[in-house]
Amino acid sequence: MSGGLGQRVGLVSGFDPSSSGEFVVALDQPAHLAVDDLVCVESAVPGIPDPVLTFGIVTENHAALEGAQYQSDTHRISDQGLRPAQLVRSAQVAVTRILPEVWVAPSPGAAVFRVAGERRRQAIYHDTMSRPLAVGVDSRGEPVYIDVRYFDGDSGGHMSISGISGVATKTTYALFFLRLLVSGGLGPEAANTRVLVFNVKGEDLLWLDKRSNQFSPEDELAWRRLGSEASPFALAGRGGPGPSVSFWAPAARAAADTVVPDVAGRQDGVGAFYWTPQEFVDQGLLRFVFADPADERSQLGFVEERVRTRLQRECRPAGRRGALELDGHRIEDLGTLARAIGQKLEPEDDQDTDYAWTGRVAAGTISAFMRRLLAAASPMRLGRLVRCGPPRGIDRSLANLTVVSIASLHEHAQRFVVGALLKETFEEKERTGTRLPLSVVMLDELNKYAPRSGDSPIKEMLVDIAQRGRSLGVLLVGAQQSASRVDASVLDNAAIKVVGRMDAAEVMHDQYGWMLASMRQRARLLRPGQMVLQQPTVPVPLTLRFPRVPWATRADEVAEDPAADPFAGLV
Amino acid sequence: MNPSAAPAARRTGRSSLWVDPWDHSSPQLETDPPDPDQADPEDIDVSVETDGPWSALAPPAPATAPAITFIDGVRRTHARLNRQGQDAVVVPGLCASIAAGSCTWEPGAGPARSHYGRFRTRRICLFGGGEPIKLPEVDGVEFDSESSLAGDHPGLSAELNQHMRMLENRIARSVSREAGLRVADGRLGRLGDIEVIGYVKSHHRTYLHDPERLRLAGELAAGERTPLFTIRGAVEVYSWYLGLAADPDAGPWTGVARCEVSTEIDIQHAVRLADLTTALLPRAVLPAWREARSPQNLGPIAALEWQLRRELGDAGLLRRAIELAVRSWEGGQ
Repeated sequence: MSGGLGQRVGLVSGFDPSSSGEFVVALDQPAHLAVDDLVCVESAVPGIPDPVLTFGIVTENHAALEGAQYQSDTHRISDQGLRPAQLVRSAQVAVTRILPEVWVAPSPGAAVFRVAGERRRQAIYHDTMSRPLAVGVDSRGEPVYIDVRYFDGDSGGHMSISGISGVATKTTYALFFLRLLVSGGLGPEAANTRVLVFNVKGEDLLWLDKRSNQFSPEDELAWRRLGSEASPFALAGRGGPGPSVSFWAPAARAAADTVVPDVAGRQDGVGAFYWTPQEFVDQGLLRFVFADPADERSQLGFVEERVRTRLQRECRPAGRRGALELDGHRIEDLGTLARAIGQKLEPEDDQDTDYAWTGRVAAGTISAFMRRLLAAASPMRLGRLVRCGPPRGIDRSLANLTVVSIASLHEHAQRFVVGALLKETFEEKERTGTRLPLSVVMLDELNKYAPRSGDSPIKEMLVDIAQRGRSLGVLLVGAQQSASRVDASVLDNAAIKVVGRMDAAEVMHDQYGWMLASMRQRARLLRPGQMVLQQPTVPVPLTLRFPRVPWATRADEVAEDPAADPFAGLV
Repeated sequence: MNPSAAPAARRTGRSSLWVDPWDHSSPQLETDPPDPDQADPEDIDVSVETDGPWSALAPPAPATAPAITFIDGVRRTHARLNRQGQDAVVVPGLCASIAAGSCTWEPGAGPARSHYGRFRTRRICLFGGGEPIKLPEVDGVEFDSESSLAGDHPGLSAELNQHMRMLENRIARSVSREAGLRVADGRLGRLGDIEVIGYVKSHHRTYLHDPERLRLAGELAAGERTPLFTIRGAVEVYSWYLGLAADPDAGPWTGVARCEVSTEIDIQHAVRLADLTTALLPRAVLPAWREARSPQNLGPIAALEWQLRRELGDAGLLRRAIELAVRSWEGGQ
């Protein structure tokens, strides 16, 4: 039977007592075990008819000159040769699984094998996964799986990705994962799944349909080993292999009649979006104008709620371009809307005060509300997002992946867009009432939108998605630099947790308690492309690598397209 | 009273065996007892290398340093036993482990290194009165039974030493074909044609009777030696004193060892061995804080003894096995 175990690497140490939780491997002379390697031991245990299989993961390893009794003996041994000594290597192993499930310590002296084949699948609980999806490879190039049931809401949902910024690991891994999901990982539903991605920094995600010049044949091989074809996303409407993508950016501030997306690097294939005043009022988007956690602490929320309701009741459509009319004031953008509201809240004559609008709150609160509203209406902030014209909403039905670039927007406007789109997504699923097809939202800087302390309408919605989204089929792939600053219920509801390179102090927070101590130590040394993965089915976190992605993640990564070169073929 | 000390066969009224209750101490690890022989002036010939007065010789370092294989043995008495026969006479015995092995030092290798050779261990139940006792095997521990005519513990101890010497000689034979020098701990026994250098660390006896020569030997500096002299005895040897480490603050003899080699080899070869040992052995001296028996207990010898003591086995487990074996002993019926 041991023949099927794999390559022998050593023996369970008899020097350190083994336990059902951990043991030490005294390594064979020519063998080695590195941290994260998976091993298996077969022990004969009295009273149990079959051998007990103990699986484990290497958490640390040690080497010493056995025979050295003092530090200075090292020189006597290795320089002067006055003492013989044996170089001994050992590896510390954390037990991950015992089959049959009898929690006994492995027998000292029993042979330890590096797992392979079926034993490896058992070690990483692959045999218990009903819908395994390879989401990376281990240090030896073997696939590492998650059980999709724990992402798609069947048994669990959501994914949380943590890591320091700058190594582009979080977003890249999130997109890598989403790509695997929509190109088959979700099964028959994959093609109908809709993913909403917010591009918050630069225009990094606006090149998903362009081939990357960084993508190597080895990467291609790695993709194939993971069971997925490696191609960029196909731009919606242009056809092509692979899942489709559509790009959206806010309409640029330009002449009233031209609508062009506000993007710098990319000229074509990006849709522009805005909301008409009518959409703004009907959808109750005023709520997301006051989406700063600071607004919730004051009475502004109360005023906002009243005003929102009044607007919905009293505004009348004015023309076909989404304009409104309120008590004779024509509303064509946020500025005119703010002024119309101002007439209601702060009329020139106090006698005209309409308590249906103000709700008898202090005059100071009303002024504060108006100040915020007028500031928000500035073209530098939200002003550009609300204008008259034909409806130009984001159409998420166009492609598998909908990338919305909000990087060019003021932070206030970013919150507004995120809030409005989250609401739209969530309400759409609430309306249909069916979990499938799934709607996935990928949001970076979650600590900004769902902070640990304070309340905001966006946080409220994210908490709602985290708690109820699983059954509604709305799933969150959240990324953040520091999970310790993200709301606990958003984090706790993420069944799958992924960590990239971490700040040394951050990784010591309780939020990373699921990581092995050895992994916490190493988390700040993880290279781009290396992640630690935790999921409910596997009680031990696994480190994985993922290949480079076939699409460009920056403008300068876009591979030259020979077909687009007008001079091609002339030489 | 320790239960194991109770006479095992008191109920039978025949013969009894017990562990010496007065020896319920930690196991003893003995060093070699002093050589009981006497050196008479007429057994010493100081003129084999140099006629006339002596002066210290400082041989040059060899161009290529040969490997030196050190051979040593250790012993540990686990328990003293007593047996009372039907004639009511109490006969002493002991249970001990002995181990011998070798450690080869290659000062000429770059970098210098050393490695252990083979080890041999024996567990012996040695009884006086010429009658061996076979203790039953317990927990996989089994003692060879040996008997001695000795009637007391010092006699048994000397006998045990002989067994250890025999084990060392077996090791010496097993390494006789290896290149380089062979240095065995203590005085030379009978080794036939095997070329072994005896290395004597302590100076219990005086071989030189002339005060000038004695002073010269006691004050040798590191890398110096006396001329060769012969000692006649059971085995006739060439001998020389060599300086290992000179510490002007310590007294004479503190940094000196004595070597000997059988006179069966020719004198030129003996001189060559004397020169090599004098040039090389000081290099293997450990600092005093690292080795209590420095400088004589050279690095490879200290390492070998440390390893051999590990080979002897766990003292607590052996003591327990002996106590159990003594209790279940059913001899003498």
